[in-house]
Amino acid sequence: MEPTSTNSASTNNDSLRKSQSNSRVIKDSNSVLNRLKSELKQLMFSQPPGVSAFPDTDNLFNWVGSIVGPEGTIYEGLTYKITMKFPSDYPFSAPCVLFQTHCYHPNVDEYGNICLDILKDKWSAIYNVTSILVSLQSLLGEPNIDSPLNTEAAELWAKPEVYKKQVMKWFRESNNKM
Amino acid sequence: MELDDTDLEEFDVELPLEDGTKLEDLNDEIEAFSKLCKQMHSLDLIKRTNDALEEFLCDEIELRVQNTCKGTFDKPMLRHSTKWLYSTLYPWLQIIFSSNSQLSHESIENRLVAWSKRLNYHFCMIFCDSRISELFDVIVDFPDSKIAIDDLIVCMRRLDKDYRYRLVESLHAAFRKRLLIPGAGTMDIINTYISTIKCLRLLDSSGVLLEKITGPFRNYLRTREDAARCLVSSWMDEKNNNNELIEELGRTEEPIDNQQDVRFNDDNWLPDPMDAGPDYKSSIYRSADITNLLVSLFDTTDLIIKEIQNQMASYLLTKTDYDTEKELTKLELFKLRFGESKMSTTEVMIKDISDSKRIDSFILGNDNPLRRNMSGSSSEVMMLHGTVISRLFWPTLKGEDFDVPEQISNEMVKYDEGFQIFKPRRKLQWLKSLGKVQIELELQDRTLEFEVAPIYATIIHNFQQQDKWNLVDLAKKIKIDPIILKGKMNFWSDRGILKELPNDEWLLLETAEEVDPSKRAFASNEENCDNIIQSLAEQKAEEFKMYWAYIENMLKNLGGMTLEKIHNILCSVAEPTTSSSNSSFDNNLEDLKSFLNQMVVEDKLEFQGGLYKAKIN
Repeated sequence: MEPTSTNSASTNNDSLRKSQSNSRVIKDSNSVLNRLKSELKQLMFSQPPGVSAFPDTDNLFNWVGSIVGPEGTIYEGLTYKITMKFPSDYPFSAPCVLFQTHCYHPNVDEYGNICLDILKDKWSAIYNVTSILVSLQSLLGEPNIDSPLNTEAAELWAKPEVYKKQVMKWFRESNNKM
Repeated sequence: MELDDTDLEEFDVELPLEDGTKLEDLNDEIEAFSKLCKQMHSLDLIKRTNDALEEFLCDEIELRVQNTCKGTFDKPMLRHSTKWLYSTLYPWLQIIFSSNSQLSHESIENRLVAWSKRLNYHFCMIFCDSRISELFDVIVDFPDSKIAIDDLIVCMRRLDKDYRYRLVESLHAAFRKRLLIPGAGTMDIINTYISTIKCLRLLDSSGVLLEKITGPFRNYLRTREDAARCLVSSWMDEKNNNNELIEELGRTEEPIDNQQDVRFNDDNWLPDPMDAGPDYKSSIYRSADITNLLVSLFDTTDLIIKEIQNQMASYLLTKTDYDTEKELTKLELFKLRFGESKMSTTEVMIKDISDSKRIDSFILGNDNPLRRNMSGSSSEVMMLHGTVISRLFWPTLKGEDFDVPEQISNEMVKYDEGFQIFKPRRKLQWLKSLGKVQIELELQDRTLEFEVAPIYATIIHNFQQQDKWNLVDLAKKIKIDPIILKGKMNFWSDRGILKELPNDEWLLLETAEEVDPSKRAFASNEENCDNIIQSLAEQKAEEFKMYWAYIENMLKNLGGMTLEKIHNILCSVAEPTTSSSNSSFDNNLEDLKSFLNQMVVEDKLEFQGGLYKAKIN
């Protein structure tokens, strides 16, 4: 009799722990959802020029967005599509942001990965979707040449005409692919 | 249905002679007929003609009902006709029967009674059919047609229950054909419903018939957006003195909500009648309370309560004397009907007005230190009275902003200062377009007095310094959209005070000009004060505007989508935008559809193959 009873006690404990952790996850994901909803609301009502984003279907953790190159830069008038994936512990870790349209840029690699400090080690919970979008938009015009992902682009940055050709070539190519 | 000889009206006596036959001729005819009958009897033909005779008599009765009873609702036609049966039709029968000389007087009598019973029943049926077929007209004429209803009650009592259903069916058909159609005004429908209630109550005290007839009304009124508005406005209407709805409102029994439960300690409880339908609620249909019946046409009382708030708001805002006595009486009546808690918002609104009286007299009175300081310097009387309302409790008010004349805006500032003494750290937010202005126009040849909305007063005030204004300049001066201004200018031109010249110039008519009388008559009835409360539709559109940013971004980023998908995503993604919307995205699919279609019309969206798409600029 005895061993069985201890066994059952331990399983009970296990299940208890499990349910506790489960409820924490649910609670957390709820608070994340609320945060994402309020960020969406903020974005909707601030409507920063040239950027926009929206949850992909009804999943609030995956967003799609677009960034229009800022005026007076090489990227002027070009619309780049991006995706944003939010981790379950958002906003304590940064979302994963990728360019879907191929962006020929010193800090963006061919897979769309972005080298931007606030998306990596400088991330903080005070940033939000709106600030990410605005930072990305300004990154287009002001690349960080010192830590390039795309070295070729970094070298060409000094020669705007050649650079522009490359930008347009990739932009068209990836738009056709889509 | 007994014969009552005492009041034989001329109407009846005349009838047999109406085709111009003289009394002597008639006597001759009777004589001849009785001779004929005797002869026929001697030939043993009378028995063989029985069928024909019966048929003929029935036809006569039908003709009689058709010709004299139909369409006459204000005379006791049942009694007239019975009299006719006994005084005109049956004597002929007597002649026929008495032709048989072998029959005793008694057996003739018996035969006559048997025949008359059959014929009376037949008459009853024909009469009932006829009345049922014209019951709609009877109801419309009610209470003038009460006699017709009484007649019908007597007939129905003699006939079997089948006639009740025939009545319901015929009434259904008549309502569908003649009342519940787009051409009928909502108020007419409600009034007819009230008459129907009263008529059917008389016909059937259990209310079963009424319950059966209520369905079509309920379903139809649901499609009428203004149903609640009409109902409430007739409650609020002060001008109409013999308004029975107000009377009915006062005759309250119990709050509506309590009526639904069965009261177990009710000694007068009766089981539901045999033929009651599943929706039959004996307490409502049996009780004589018309107001409750009317309210029960609506699914919830919320709609009505909201309408009461809206209409109360417009009533209160047109007040210039802060007198809320009448409104308080109404409020008490409504409270008895709908319960205290539901009317609390309306109560606050009325209290706002009486509070405003206090505030106003304080600001304008001598207690106000500001005023005391000024009184030495300027002796002018403050002509501005304010109504201070608590925004949260009032319906959304339409407030167009514009610049009032300087004198008035100075007064407003002073008023505001006074208010801040009364209630420190509160600021007044003026709704300039509401309110009333009494103005007197002194023109060269005439002096006119008006009570108008502030915007009209502002317009005409600007003509004080300058006779002629360009529309655009004036619009700039009072900071209002020129298109709106133009509509407002028409108010004065309709009254022959301004005149429109080519190129959007407007001229003040110092001397009256002859106006085309036809135009004048058309204009004079025009509504002076615009509707100040946002309509329900406008409120909805406003609500959707908040979601417009969501919809726009969604379609931009995710491509074209169907209505259902847009709705789904909005439901899961959008957060309640303001405190006013009680849950996240509770707007239903239909509302969203009409909003999106509106956006398509406004060229903000595209609609292709079932998908809504963002416009590409």
